[in-house]
Amino acid sequence: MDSTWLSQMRKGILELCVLAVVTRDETYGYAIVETLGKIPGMEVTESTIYPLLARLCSEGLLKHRMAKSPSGPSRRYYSLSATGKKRLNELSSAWGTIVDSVSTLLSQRETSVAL
Amino acid sequence: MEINEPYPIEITQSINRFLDRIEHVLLTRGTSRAERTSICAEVESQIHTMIERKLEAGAELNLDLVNGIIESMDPPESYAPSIEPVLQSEQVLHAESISAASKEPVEKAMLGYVRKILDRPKRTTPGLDWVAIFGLITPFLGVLLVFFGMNGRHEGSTILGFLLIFAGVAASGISFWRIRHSNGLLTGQRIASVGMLMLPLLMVNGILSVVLFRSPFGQFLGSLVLAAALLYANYRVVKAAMHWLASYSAKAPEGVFATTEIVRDAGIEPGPLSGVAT
Repeated sequence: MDSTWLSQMRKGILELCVLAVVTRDETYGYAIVETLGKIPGMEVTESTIYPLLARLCSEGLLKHRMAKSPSGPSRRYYSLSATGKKRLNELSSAWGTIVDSVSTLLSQRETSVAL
Repeated sequence: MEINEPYPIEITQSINRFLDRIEHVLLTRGTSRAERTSICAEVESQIHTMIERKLEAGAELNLDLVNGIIESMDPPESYAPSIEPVLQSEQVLHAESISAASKEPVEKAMLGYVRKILDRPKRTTPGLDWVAIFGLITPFLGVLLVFFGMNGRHEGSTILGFLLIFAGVAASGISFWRIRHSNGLLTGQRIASVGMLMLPLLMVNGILSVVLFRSPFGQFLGSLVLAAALLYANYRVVKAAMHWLASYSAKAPEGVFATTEIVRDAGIEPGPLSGVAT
């Protein structure tokens, strides 16, 4: 499969994934990287996630607070802002529509092939 | 060693070098200061967390351990946007297409020049914008040419002079925009401001001089008084205009390039061209 296509698709849904991870619980950057890294097919690393977190913060979708870390400097703990919650609802709604539409399309194709 | 104790200096230096390289890449791509700080803080926090986990697993804290952790992480270059390879490949394709088409020495020389431009290192330290200098010097040359043309009745010089004045003002405007969107990589905003004011000032001064010096009021005051008044008026106008331009510039979003915004609007990570200062 074309890896460029896959990486572009991942990139497109990454914002939705990050917002979805953060909405579950207040969390820090490396934990987000680990959570998303474990999801099959996502395969994201820190160089993708940290710039995205910084952008989402600057856009006001995420807010963060500094908290003491058991090691090293203080950690930034991220949570969703009101705008972020709104964006997450919009994105998840759009995602649902796309998934339904593409699934319907693929099932019609399978039916026609079977006939 | 206790985790909360400060690390030995060589370990701290190794971590700082890695963070510096990431910041350098981010600076080159035009990332804002706030985002650079945020990204580097996250990377640093990750390194410390990984060190902590290794120590908890029984590893010994030393430079090899930390360097191993750093090597296992994404290299600094990966913080450059994904749009970069596309742009680079487009540039290579462009250069290769020229290469295929050109067999003549002149064309080969041109190809070498194109490659030289494409391979030119991107600016990462602040420097004076040459366009601002061009925008300041050109109107002066233009004025000289206009006077030369008028005195010697050389119409060509007069036309060229006016063209240079307009070109200088346009260049100053372009320079002002470039500096404002350069994330501090370009300086010379005051020079560009003066260049932008050159044409309106020249026109207003010309008109005022003709009107005032010929009026009975002007003749009553005398040339010296009028010249001094004009100079003072110019000073006040330039000062007010530069103050306004500086406040206008300060309203620019921190470290965000227009191109970056457009690319981000398109949902793609911002590209290196947004941060490139020639």
